[in-house]
Amino acid sequence: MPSSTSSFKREVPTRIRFRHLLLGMLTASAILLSLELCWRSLGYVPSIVDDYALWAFNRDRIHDSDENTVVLLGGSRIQVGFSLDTFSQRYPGHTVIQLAIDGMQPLEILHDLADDESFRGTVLCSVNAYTFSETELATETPHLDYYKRQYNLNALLNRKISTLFQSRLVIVNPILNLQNVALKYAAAGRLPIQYILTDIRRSRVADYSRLDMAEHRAWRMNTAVKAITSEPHLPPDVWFKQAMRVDGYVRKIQGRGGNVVFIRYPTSDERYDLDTRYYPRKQYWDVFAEHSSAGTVHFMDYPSLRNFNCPDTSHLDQKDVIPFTSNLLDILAEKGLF
Amino acid sequence: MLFNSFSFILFFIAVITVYNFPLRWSTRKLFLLAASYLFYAAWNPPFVLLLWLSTIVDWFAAKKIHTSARTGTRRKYLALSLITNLGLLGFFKYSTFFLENVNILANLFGTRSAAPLPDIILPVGISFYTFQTLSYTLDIYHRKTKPWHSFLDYALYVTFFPQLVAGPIVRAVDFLPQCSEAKRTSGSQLSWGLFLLLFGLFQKMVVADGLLAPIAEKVFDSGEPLNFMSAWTGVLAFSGQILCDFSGYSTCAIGIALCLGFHLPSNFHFPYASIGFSDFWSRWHISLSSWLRDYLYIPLGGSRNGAVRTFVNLMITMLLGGLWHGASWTFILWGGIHGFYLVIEHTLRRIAPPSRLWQGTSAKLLLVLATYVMVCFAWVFFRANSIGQASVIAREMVGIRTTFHAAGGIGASIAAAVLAITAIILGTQFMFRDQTLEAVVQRFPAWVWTLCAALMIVSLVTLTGEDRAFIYFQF
Repeated sequence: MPSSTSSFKREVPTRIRFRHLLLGMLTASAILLSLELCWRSLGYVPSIVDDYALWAFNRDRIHDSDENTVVLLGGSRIQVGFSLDTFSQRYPGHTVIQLAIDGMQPLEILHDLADDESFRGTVLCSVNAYTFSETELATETPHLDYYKRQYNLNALLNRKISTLFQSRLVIVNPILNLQNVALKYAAAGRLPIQYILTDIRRSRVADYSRLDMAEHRAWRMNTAVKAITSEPHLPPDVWFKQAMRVDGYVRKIQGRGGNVVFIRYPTSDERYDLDTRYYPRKQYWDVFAEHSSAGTVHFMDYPSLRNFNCPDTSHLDQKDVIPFTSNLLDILAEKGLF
Repeated sequence: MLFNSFSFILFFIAVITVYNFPLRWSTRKLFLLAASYLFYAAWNPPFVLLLWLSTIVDWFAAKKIHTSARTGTRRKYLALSLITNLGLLGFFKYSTFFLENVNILANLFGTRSAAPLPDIILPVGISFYTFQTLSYTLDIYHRKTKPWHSFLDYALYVTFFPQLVAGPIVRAVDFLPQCSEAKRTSGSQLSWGLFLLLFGLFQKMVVADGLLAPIAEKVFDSGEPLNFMSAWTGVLAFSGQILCDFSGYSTCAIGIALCLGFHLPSNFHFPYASIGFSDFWSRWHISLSSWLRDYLYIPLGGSRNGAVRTFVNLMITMLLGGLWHGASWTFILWGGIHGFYLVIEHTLRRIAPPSRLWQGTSAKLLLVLATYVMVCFAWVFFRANSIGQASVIAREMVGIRTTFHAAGGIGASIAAAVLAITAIILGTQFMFRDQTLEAVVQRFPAWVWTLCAALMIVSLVTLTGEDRAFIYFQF
């Protein structure tokens, strides 16, 4: 019976031979090698792409965890502002897992850890008053959804192979995607600036000396103002009720022998002013700290933490991460955590 | 396992290597079958059970249909096949949609209904392999073919990994005879197959994901205000994205199959160079449109029972075709719009037969552009997150302002870039609309394709976008 589908068996063209493909591959390799050398000569270095699979890989490590496991939650502040090496050197018997996600709030992940019976360690969770606003509480984290529904051996294999390339080659870095480079050059007359480096543990360092800080600070503040003012501003009592919803997660973790500490990371200058204008400490953070079952650390309460300056008003520079982490660990040790 | 993943590259190298070992043909087919199950299990191992269920039920049902003389018995086994396959599809794909609408309907009548909505994972490829196995039992029921003698061949037909999860939907009469003779990958098949794989990946990763998807998402997903320019830019970007994404996948599938010595049917034939909608559906997702024609439209009566019945059959076929794409009213509307287009076209053909005026190149180009613009309007409903959003975008496209914002979310330079990419796609498709890709390749010297291969490889490393799932995986 003739097929009802069209164009079934078609002649294989003879124009393309295997040697042509091989030559094409060799030509492409030469172009890519040239590009790689060019980028490196301009100062770019390899950096790991922090994707869903990398987060899921680190989340999966929780299953092998014990009471000496420390999990970092939060956003970019703790991702660039906590030195995993400093922690590991000080506490070699402990494991630290970085689960903070740039641009996301941590509460759904805290909830997930609370429900995970295998987790009995310590959570250091970077938050600010804005974290407990209604929209942020309801925000779903796609990383968690990916971990639960899609992460498997195949994803792990792909992640490991990607790491091999990303840790050795500059050309696979998304900021050097040629379209991105062209758009950046057209808009700003310069190449993309690589000021953040990420490693396989999802730890980041930010070198703000590479940036035009006036421009970057202005952009950072503009973004922050939009984010905060787009939310309906919650009165203290409503905000407090929402914030205390996470206390159940805290007590669950504590019930298994674990700990939770909420940390208010440093912000500087106009960013700190903005935060305190919308969420005055006395009416928000202090009330929460007084009633929360978790431990709390506010950077302004400790001289060893409050004198760090955030070049972009919101994040620590790489030169300050080790001393800040060291000081923070001193404070946490005093609280009896480690 | 995605074609655009490192694990697939390793898998493919391993499969090609072992496949070409000097082993018996039946052993090599068994190896391909095992590799195909492994390929599918890489997503979610338990769902391999669904593949087995569909395979075994239809193999058994088809045999019984063929050997039974009584119509009642034959119908009983056909019903078994239909209920199994459509039941699987219905449960996994449509049960949440069904319950959502029950709740809405009940609430409309004043009943406070809140049937819990199940959280069901959609098995990848279920829409494709259920249709594929159904075509086997239907062909046997209609005595168009006989049951195949080898269960191994049949299982390989259902599970063949290049086309398992997103087509093309292959007919048994096209695939099973290929299993009879032993195959080895010839040099020309390997070269052309690898080139197709490279080209398919380039279409998907560079053009669809890298260039067009971010722009389409900016219009459809960002919630930013729209205007005439941004609405059109978003829709044109999506029209290019879905073409390159889906035809890219099909191209990869055909190339991979060819590397194993198997021929799969073409699934796209320069669809944006269509003149009219019958032509469009003979060029877009050919394996699905022909399936719907052969197993739905023609059994309903096709065009054999007068104009009105023809139009009803067209609408039913296209509405169900829309529903096949997704459990949402927007997909059904999209199908309905295409059904409406086909009805209008059939009507025009009856009352105004084709004239010589439309034979010239300029006239053809005009018709191609008109068809493309109307296809784009339909894409709005396919892509939109809701009927409301589709309505807003469609109105902006015709110049009806839906907001008071003068500025949309898209700048003039991006709009110009999308227009340029669209012009290249349309121009290329129009130039080669009456040829096959193979014929086009044969026309140009080898160095052109060497250069193309090199540029595609460089682009795959330096120009890819964020990793997005193939659009048709969600179907």
